[in-house]
Amino acid sequence: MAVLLLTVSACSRSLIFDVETEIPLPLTEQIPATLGIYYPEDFRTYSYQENSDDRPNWAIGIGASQTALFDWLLSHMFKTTVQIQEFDQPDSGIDGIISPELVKFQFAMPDETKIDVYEAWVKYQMKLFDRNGALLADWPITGYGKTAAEFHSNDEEGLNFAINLALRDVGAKLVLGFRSIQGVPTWLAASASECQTEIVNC
Amino acid sequence: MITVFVTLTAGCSSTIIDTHLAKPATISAQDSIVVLGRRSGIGQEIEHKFIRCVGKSLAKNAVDFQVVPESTFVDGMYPYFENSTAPININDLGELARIPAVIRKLQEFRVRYFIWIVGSTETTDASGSMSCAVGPGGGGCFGLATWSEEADYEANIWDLDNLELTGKISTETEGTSYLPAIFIPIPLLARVQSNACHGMAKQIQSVFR
Repeated sequence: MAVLLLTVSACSRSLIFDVETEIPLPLTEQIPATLGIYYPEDFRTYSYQENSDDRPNWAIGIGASQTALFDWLLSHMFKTTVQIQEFDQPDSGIDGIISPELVKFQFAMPDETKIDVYEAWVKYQMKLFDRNGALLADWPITGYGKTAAEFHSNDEEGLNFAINLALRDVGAKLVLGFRSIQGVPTWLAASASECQTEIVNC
Repeated sequence: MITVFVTLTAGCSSTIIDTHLAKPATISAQDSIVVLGRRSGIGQEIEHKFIRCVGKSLAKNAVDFQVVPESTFVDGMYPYFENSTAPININDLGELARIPAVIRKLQEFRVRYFIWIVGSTETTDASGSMSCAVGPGGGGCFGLATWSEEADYEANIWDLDNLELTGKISTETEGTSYLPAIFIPIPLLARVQSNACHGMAKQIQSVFR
């Protein structure tokens, strides 16, 4: 009798997906100021690319998710937000400009971690400028997400979940930490003062 | 301080529950409790399904209070109850409870008690072997596999109104599952995590009576 032994072997495969993120409505007191948001080139379309033996033709798109994250949170942190396309043109209608830059994105798969989890790290360099483009504050925000492999049915789902947690973490630190960043309280006070004297629309 | 030991044996698993009550717990029918997983540490993290299980088990049997689901609460309180921002102790909770936006949301949820749970279920031992084959006349499996699991969880109960620790409940459950196979595998599962969940939920329930 012919017997066919069934074997399952792990093999590397391509992993291509766009991160889907859902960030809740933040509990925060709105800052009475008009903020410009400027995203560096490629921020909105950024995709992590790797083509190695372990990760052949991997592409993880996080541009849309990270843009949605900052758009969503900043629009709830400030009374008004506007998208800035040309950074070097002064705009008297705004109080300041914030610009996030993704400087690090790393992840680890369950077979690379001793505790069988998906992990993701992100690091942003945040910059706050006045309406003329002069730098007022410059600070990093890191985010971390981890989820056990056993909770997920495949790599895409597990990694997406970990990245989602990391982006939520970034958002939490932005909302809770913004007012205490060096340079921000002075800017907030000046914006509030201009608001009261109606130099700008608030 | 009251210490209660309960030992449950269900099938091939046993559960030891230890309860320390620092203060009597009082709750009204309009009040809510929320069961949250503590995930701020490194290493093994508590399972979302365990937290959901405890919450659902409590909600199913609670007649004296409401239970807010973990994800609903954490999303509603964003960004104050994320893994990296959640209050670590009662003092941290006291600080949070001074923020107007947080106060409003806690009142909306009508939360009176927080139940923070840490722990995990781990496979401690596995042995045996099983082989399966398929041929033109059919297929089948032969062998015996066994594995043991341990579930250790601890719940801390915080009283929001009085900003104090009400009590702690810990559960230790262990059990061995068997998978014998003569043509067809027949799983005899110990349901270690499920027993830990229901044991803990039952004990939490008793704290509020």
